[in-house]
Amino acid sequence: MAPERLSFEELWRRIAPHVRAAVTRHRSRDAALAADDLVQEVRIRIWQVYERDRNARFRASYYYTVVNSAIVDCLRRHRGTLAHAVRDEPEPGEADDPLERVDNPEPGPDQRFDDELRARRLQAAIDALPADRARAVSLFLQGFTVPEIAELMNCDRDRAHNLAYRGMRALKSSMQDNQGEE
Amino acid sequence: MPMNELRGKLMPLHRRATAAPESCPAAERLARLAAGSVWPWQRSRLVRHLGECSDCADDYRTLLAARDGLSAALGLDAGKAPASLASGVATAAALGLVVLAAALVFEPDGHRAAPGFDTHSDADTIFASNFGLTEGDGRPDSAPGDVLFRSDFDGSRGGGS
Repeated sequence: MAPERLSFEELWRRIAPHVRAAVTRHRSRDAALAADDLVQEVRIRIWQVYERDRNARFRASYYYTVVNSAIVDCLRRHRGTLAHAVRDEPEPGEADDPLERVDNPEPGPDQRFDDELRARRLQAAIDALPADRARAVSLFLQGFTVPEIAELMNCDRDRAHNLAYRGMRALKSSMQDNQGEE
Repeated sequence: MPMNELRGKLMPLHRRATAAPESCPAAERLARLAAGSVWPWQRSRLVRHLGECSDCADDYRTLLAARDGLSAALGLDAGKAPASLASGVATAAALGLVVLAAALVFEPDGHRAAPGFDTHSDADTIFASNFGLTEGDGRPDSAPGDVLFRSDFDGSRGGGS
């Protein structure tokens, strides 16, 4: 016997709070992302899949992937839109005349050059680490927690912790050595 | 310098340097990674990408934040591979084993080992490794003539580290 199919409203009622929580969390980092728009977009995507699933053939795991996929797509699209908006429009109160931007906190060319140099040095130091440590350190520096790193690297937490922290220590000494050489 | 301080200092640098790489995996790939339903080689590539792309790392963390709630709402166990993939692997492995066994059992009579190649002396033994069952292994019925498969691990259970 085919499993009883939830109505779309019921399905959406169950998952909507989690979708909203996810995009709101993202939005807190970037105030220009409109959470309501994102949630609506995700809802439309789920609706399209639900409409195709008239015989209730799709499993819950499929819906799970669809929801996550829709969230990522929407975040990416909005990020692209935002990047254009930031480039095209001046900040509120920002003067159009470049001479009036002397107090602009944006880093100048020297600062940008220094940052680029340090970033390259950091990347070279990461690349010089053993592969597992390099991966753990990269994830750690992207903001992943140790349990998340453990899951991604398919190892236990102790190992993930060791890889990340030993890698960071090696990175620190490598960066200090490089500074000393200059 | 404490680890969190070092992390706080290097993280913006790393994230700025890894912003907007040339190509990112499809959203569905990240979704499957969050669902635990990617193949090992795909996982490895995706994880490497997450370390090298701050945008995808952010997106993936968003999925992780929503995972438990979404899984519960859809009636799934969080972080578990969907049954379809797990059972698919098991089915493929079992099928492969059966096909292999059938191919060996129904081997044409004309086939003989080439001169110089050693063959097993037990007429009915198809696979028997050097680490096979030994006497007193608790399986008195396993006379050499009856053995179909004898795994490398059968004779020494519990000895691995």
